[in-house]
Amino acid sequence: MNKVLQKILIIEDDPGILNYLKTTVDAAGYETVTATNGRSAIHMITSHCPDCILLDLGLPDMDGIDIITSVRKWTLTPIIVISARNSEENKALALDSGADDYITKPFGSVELLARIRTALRHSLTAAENKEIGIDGCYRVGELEIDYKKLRVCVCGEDVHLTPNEFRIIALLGKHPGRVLTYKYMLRELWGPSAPMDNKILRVHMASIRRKIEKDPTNPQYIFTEVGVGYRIAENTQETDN
Amino acid sequence: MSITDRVRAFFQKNQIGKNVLVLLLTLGATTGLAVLLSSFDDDNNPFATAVFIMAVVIVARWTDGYIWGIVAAFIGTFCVNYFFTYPFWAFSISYTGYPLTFTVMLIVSVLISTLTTRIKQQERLRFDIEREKMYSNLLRAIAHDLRTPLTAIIGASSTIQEQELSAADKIRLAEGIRKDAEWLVRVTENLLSVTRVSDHALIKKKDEVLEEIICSAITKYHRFPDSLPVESDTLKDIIFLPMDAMLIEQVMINLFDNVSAHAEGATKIWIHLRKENGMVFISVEDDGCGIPPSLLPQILDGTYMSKRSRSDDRRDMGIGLSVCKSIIEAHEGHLSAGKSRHGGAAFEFSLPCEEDMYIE
Repeated sequence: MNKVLQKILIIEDDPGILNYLKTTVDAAGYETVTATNGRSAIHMITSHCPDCILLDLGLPDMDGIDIITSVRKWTLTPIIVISARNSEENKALALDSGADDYITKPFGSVELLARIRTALRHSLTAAENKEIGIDGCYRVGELEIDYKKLRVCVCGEDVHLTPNEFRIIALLGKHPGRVLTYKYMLRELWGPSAPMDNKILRVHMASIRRKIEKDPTNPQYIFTEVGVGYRIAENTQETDN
Repeated sequence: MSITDRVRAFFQKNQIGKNVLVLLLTLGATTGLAVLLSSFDDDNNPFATAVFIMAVVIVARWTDGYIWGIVAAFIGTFCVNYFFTYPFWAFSISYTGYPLTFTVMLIVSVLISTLTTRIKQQERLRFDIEREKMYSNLLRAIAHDLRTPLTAIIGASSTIQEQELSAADKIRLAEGIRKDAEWLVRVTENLLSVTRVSDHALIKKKDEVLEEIICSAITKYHRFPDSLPVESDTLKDIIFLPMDAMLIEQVMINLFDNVSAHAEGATKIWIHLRKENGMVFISVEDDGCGIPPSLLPQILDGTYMSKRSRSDDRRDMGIGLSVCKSIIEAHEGHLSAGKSRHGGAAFEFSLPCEEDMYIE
């Protein structure tokens, strides 16, 4: 057994949840290290250099957001935030501070492991989508975003998006599987003078949904994270679940 | 947010500001009225006392606590003496009958103001008692509902720990634990919603796209075991509705869950949408057994829940529908139950929508 295992740091103060997380992650073939408060977490991150961090936002001694910002000063290690329901602002804030993903309590082991695999894969391919680099296209299911011809096809047919709509879906396509917050998308699409109100973004999004989804309330490609932002389906998602 | 909403929010934050404003506006308006009346009848203005006592009543009614009404009583008495009785523009109690008149006016004003305040306080007290009663009923129902799954969880986990079991048995017990725990999660989420609704400051209404909320509710519902397929209308327009997204999502999940739990024979859930007179109507319908007409009036107000037999049937949602009702009412909407065009039950709720947004 000299195979090097990927190391996951779990930062969680509740012993019950920590026990569950550690057992699940261990059993899935990762090496785990744990921390139960913010100070030891920072120490563990600098000394162990984990491949992925699971972070509970509600720690006794430190705000989880502060941990994210201080870690992001020197490393791009993927961070998955564990958050309670009813805290959309916190989720958005965590993502905007540099977290890669979030998972809402209560969650099952399948969902947790899928998020960890996704996060680890992203850290290998960096932020940009590898596929786009190869042939200038992102494909998922029947959806194809063509970055060279600047068009989007579903089942091989051009869906005729407006320029703004194309820019939105193109941005999502560059980060498959990741939640992009309203704030991030507005800044990327409209620059530093972006409107504060995300209404315009959501109107465009509703229009995109009507064009590319067969059933807009049961979407296959673009998912809404209520109060946080949007996520585009990832190619490997079917094999994950 | 409309202007009236903003004014209400400002007043909630600035109690003193509100009370001062009420006091000044009322006394100002009364003085104006008295001046107007005195131009018709330039005698000793006999109406002034009555008009100012009325002002005191108004101030006492619309302000908080005793002090503002009493302040109004003193200012009113002073104004009547100073402006509207002879000698004008002077304070005087030296004429015959004046000390008695003004003392009586002051006492009457103070009495009225304290009485009004006391009536207000009693009303509030009665309201508080009623709410307290509702809460304790709710708590009793919940505690009763929680006991059954907790017993099952403790039993199953201790069996796994203490007895030699086959792997298949362990998995079966773990499955039971999971189902019970998932049910408990749903109950606690409803409880969280109740606390948010009962404290109006915690409801954060933002403009949300209706279809995004419906879609998110469907996704969450489909994570439950034995969920049914859901088919939703899509409106041509993109509708923004001011709402607390989490709460409205909770309403829809509860209504879906209600179908899985109670509508025997249901195979599918439909969501029908329509827009009428500035309201959006969202109807959750199924093709199950429907609701007996005799139950229709009581199914939404929670009395059905408290009257039901003390069965330990945990599939009984208990608080689900009454939570839906209070959430919808906190959004100035309306929840109703009826018959579906698909043969089963229909629960329809409405939400006010402020403006129309069309695809450009």
